[in-house]
Amino acid sequence: MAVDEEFIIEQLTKADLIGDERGLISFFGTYLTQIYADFSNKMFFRFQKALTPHLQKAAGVLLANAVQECGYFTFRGFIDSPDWEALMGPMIDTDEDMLYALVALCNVFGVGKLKVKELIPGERFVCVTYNSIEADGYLKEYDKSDKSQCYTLTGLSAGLMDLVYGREFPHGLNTFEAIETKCRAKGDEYCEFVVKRATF
Amino acid sequence: MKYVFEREFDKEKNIVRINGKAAIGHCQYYNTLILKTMESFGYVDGLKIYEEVAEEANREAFSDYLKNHPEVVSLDDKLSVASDMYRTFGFGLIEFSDVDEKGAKVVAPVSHFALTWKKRWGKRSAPICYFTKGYIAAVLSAIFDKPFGSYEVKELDCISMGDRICRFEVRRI
Repeated sequence: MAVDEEFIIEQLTKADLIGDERGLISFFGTYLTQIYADFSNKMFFRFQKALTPHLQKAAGVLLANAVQECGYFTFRGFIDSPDWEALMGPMIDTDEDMLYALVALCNVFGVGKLKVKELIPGERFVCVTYNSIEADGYLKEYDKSDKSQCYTLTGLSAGLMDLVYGREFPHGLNTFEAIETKCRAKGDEYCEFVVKRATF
Repeated sequence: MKYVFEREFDKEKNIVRINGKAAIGHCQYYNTLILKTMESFGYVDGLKIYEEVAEEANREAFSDYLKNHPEVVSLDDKLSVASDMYRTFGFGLIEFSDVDEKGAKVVAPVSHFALTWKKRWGKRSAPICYFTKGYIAAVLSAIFDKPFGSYEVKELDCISMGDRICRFEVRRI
């Protein structure tokens, strides 16, 4: 059975993610916050611009790593839950089905519409989006960039491959690395993320 | 008075909007690591940038909310909505007291940022609730119609340092 992304998104967006009586959103073993995209974008872009060019790159890598870790642990909690089994279980036969299901899950969090462009199982994954919330946020504040700016989706795409094809949890983090090869913030038509096995 | 939470999902673009503004979900792993990143580059005060942007983004959101909800009139109601909005977004609990144009006292019995930091990295020697500081400044400047940067918020106690609650003092600059 193929993964029905539309059905997954419809089911998951029904959940009202709001704080409980302690003001916390408990979500499959992690705590979530809902934050305005403007905050996340402006905070990081301003911070990055305050750094020297050499350190700007390092800060971008740190942010992407933060998201890679976030995706790895948060999504693992989801995969281990009975809710995941009930919703996704019947659709998932192979690792590749699992990856497509995780992409559908990413599409619930408001980062833009992510689509799989290429998948070589265990080796290479390419995904694209025409409306990355980071590229949009960058262009709202600044002129065209000379480098890619979607650090969240870069980290997230690598985190998905870590989960599906990495070593056994929790040792699979950073099995893969991603680079953003095209970005709307630098004038490309869409943003593209290429994930391959980490070389370090 | 409760905050009216209106969340919509744009199926065409896969974008979440809360009360009309694009929003994203961030987990504790992201939130703690981004704070760590912000304080990792000595010559740039990343945490100050983080706090300032928190004030700017939340001021706009809270001001827009007050404009769109004319039923929120009294100071008590505005503060109550601000606390409930903070809770709803998963940041924790905050309570305002002694509030006027000149400042306020605020406590946070629960703080997502402080609790998750302490759990992950252990006790800090300095407070960590920079988002909450920006949020508090945003609420006061929106309520009293003051420009950005009108309030200084100091965090005196912080759960991340082993204190029981987070405690803030606000004064007009």
